[in-house]
Amino acid sequence: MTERYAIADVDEFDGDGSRVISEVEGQEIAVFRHEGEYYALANFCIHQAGPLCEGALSGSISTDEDGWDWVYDDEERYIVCPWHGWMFDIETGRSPKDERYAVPTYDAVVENGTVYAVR
Amino acid sequence: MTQNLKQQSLTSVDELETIVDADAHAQASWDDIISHLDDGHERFERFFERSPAPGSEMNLYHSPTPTYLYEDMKERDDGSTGLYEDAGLEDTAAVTARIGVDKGVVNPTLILNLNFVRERDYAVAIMQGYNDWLVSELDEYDNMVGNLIVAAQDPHRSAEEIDRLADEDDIAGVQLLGTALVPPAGHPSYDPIYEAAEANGLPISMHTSGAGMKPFPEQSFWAETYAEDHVTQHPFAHIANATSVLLNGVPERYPDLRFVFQEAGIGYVPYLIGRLDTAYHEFPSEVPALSAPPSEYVSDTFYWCTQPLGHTAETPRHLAWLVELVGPENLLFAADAPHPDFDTPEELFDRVRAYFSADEVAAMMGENAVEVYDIE
Amino acid sequence: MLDNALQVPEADRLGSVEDLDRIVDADAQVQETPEALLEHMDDSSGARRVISLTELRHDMIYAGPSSYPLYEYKRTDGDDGPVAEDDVSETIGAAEVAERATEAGIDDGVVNPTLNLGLSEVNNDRFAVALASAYNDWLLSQLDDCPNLVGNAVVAPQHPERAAEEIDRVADEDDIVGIQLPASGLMPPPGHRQYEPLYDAAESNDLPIAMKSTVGNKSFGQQYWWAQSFPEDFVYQHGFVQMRNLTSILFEGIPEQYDIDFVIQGAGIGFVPFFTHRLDDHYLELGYEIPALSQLPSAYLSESFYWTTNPMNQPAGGDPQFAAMVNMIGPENVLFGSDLPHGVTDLPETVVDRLADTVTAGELAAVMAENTERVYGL
Ligand code: FES
Repeated sequence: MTERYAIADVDEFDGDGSRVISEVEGQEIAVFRHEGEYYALANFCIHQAGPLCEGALSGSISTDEDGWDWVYDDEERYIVCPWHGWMFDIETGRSPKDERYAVPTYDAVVENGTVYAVR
Repeated sequence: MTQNLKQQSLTSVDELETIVDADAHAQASWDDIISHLDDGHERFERFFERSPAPGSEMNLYHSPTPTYLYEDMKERDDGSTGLYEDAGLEDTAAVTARIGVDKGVVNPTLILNLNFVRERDYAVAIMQGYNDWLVSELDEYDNMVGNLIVAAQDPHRSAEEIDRLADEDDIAGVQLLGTALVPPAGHPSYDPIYEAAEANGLPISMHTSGAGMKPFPEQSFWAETYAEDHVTQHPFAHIANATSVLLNGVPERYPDLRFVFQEAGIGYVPYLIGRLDTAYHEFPSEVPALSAPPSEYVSDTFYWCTQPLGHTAETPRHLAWLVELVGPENLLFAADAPHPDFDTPEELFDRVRAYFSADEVAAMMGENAVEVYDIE
Repeated sequence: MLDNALQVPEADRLGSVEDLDRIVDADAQVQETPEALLEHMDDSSGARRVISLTELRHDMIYAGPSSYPLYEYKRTDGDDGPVAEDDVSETIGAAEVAERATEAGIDDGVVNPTLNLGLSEVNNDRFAVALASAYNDWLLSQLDDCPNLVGNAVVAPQHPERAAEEIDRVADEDDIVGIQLPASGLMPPPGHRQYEPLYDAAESNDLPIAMKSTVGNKSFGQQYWWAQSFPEDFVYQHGFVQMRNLTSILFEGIPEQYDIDFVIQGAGIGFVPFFTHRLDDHYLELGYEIPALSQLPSAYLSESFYWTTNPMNQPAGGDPQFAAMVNMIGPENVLFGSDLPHGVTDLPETVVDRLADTVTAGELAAVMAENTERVYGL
């Protein structure tokens, strides 16, 4: 069965990079605005149950083709857990460090100015 | 593979009466330390006023890269919250409560690098100022006790410091910092510290620091990142110091003295003890200071703090096995609150509860610490 | 709990060491002498001339007492009986190693050097390069008459380009099955980009890299100043060397760039689970600093890192530690190593006894022979 939670009005968001966290039916869900789109994740870190979505957003560092130089991609699409620094992609919920690790995500749907988290 | 469930295993941390963080932290600022200085440290105070960067001028600490993780903990403009701001005792208490810990044994944060301070006078001043700050802070909290710090640069003044503060209710032990301790902890120059600690019935805690070690015997040179340095620094310092303490016979000279090793996890301990006993048996004439294998002294008087437990989510039973190899009676749960590689109580509890009796679990989660540090 | 948890069903167990088809030793050692090495250097070599002026005292050639046998006289069998039979100034050639291996019930072996385990700490880079080549030529001549032994060619990390040339030079020899990059005193540590030529050559010649530790380390990272006795150094030096090197290799991304198997020798295996948990933890918490990897360090470790069993702890005393460690690491990554002729307590039955109830017959056969045969392509 599909579950659908109203999280916030679009005008509660302060542009890209902003977020709203709301508690619905005993669970906390965060919605992030990123490049004009909305992404919804559980505010729960699979590592030690920290409040993941209260952390900072970050870009990511990777290596260049010859494997040596560090390259910073400044697209801030990773949420960094404030407890121990694990990172997750807000679009997919997956850890960029190991794809097997993921936090629960929801589809974020906007209807009549309200953002819903749907699963 | 049989799991061998114990009859009386616990099912939830809520069933535990006492959870103790045997390695909590509080950060005194330099202002805190200086405002608690007694007379006689004018040279240090003058240096501190005049130096453009006193912290780095007197201190040899330098991490290869910034400690990113700590940076991420800070409160940010974008409204994201950090774990703590100042890491004073107030924040420690808040984090402790948040993760479900009842009591804590407090250690320093900034002053973890005291061994890196070159000048003996300065180290002695910091010791006194920090300790008096700590005693006054601890007064405010019923559920916190602390380790007074000693300055390894001056073992005699350190012994006097132990005598001065040992009767304070909130002082539960002596912190002899493990990283950059030169010579290592078994050297007879530290005997005054051990003598005073034993006479006052206080255990020695040894906490390590994560990076930037320049002095012998382990060095940071060539570590290209904080991560690279941090992986090895904590366990190496403990391994070198525990080896030195044992093979140089400190437990023979001070049989009632207990040692607590903090901040390197526990997985290295079986390896270390195995090699120590091997060395004892294979080179007996080289270890005249001991009359029994090192493992015997270890099980009588050494305690190991569990944090950081490491990433065992993929093979949780391995952590239980390592706990058994070390011995639950010699383990102290540590959260490391409020530092950013802290462990919640569940991180240990969930991995061990099914494999050990309720008593053993209760012991490692808190009762061992209550006993070692004589916490009320 | 552990005793029970580790047991495998009796039907799956191997009976005893006699039931093994083959025993292959991943870590035998020949003992080369400076005299023998000089014979394999050209008369026109300046390095030969200067080394000969040391009166061939190994402690003047290598940076110090970094080679194990110097300390053998201090070692007992746990019962006060000395174990030192060999003086470091005597050659122990391949024929003698083969003979001792046969006595110990070992069928085949991969040999490593003794003095040249201290090669990383030779101050003069020219000497190091010359000593490596001379050792390899000496080794090849030794192995010619020993069908049951093969060897690792040693390389001088001081000059990675020359190391690469040396690998290319000897790689086609049937008796050379791998490279020995002496682990102790390796500076910079092995994740540094200066070693790229060396790794390129090992990879293109499809040779694994063995890294064996020794004691008496003088270089940065870990130093043995302040160790009051040999045992103090012995207890932690091997593990420190390996953990420092592994951190560098992994966090600087070597296994991401190269398809090379690594064989880690000399420190035993007891540090491996702890260190694996610690590396993974750092990777996940400090990911910013480790962009060179795309999966957990543990994944690379299980894909391409192998650990030799020596030295085993003494006395065994019913200690389940070894069995637990093998189980945690995974028996497919553990290689039996005897440390012969320097080790005396790491015989095949020592390993088999401690694992007999806790791994299956198939896993035991892998530890005692098949893993080594696979890694070295024997
Ligand atoms: S709880 Fe999120 S990183 Fe640990």
